[in-house]
Amino acid sequence: MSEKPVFGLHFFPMKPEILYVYLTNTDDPITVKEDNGEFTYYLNGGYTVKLKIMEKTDNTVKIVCTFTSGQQVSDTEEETDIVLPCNECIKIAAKFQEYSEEWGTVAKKLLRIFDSWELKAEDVVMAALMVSFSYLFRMTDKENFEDTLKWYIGALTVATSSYIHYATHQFGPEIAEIVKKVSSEVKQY
Amino acid sequence: MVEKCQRCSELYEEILKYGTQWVGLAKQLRRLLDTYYSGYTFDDVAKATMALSFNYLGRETNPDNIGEKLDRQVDFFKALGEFYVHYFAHRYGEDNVILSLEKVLKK
Repeated sequence: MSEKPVFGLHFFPMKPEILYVYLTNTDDPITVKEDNGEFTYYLNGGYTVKLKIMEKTDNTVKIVCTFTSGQQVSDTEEETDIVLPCNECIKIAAKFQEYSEEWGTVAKKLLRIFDSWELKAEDVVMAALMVSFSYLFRMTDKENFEDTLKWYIGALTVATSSYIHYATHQFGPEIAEIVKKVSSEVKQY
Repeated sequence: MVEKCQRCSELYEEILKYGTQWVGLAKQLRRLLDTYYSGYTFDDVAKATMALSFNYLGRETNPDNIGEKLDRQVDFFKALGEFYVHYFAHRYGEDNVILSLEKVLKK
């Protein structure tokens, strides 16, 4: 890498307590999970980047970035406040809102309740999706069947995009191949 | 005489393919929602529970199991989706439902 790295920050709408930072101007973006509010990247070409999280809210983060080149740390050191949310995350969050406005409040309340119980994640995944369908049944009648189905598939597409996008931030682009394989199976279906 | 629908039984089995432990939890969750969340619309709850499902899916996902987790979620969704369509085909007539479904899929 020959140029100074540019950072993007990821906020997962349902998990604002977790922040991921990634580089946006490399072919092979690096994603690192926050570790006690501070972490370091060692990049090709002798660059080192240190990030320290100074302040974090549900929607913004203020980071001090120290960028060094080679061994001469003090020559190129600089501090920058970065508030750069991930554009794709913002788009996904906006799409979520298209489908209903109050669901976020309900989801947060449910999350709080479920997090306070000691549950197996797999059971929650299936139980919650089952109940989601149960409510879909309740809102369906002969006149709205088509619209309701369209609405639900749209919402599911957004939820899946969010999951995949989140996983890409978290695990890196190598998961793309796996996702592509599953997507083609879904399309066939 | 009321004959049991073979397809309903198959779909029911498909839904329970990954075990039955979650069923009790689903009942608890539905009771909770019906009791304390009656002020919210059905679509809010349908969406919120879907988000809850994906949130927990994210928690149990790691780079080694993401393919498996996605497969399971897709499988489970397919079974529930087919059950939904099949149920309404019983209720409103197969022709009406298939027609609607074709329209949605085309879009």
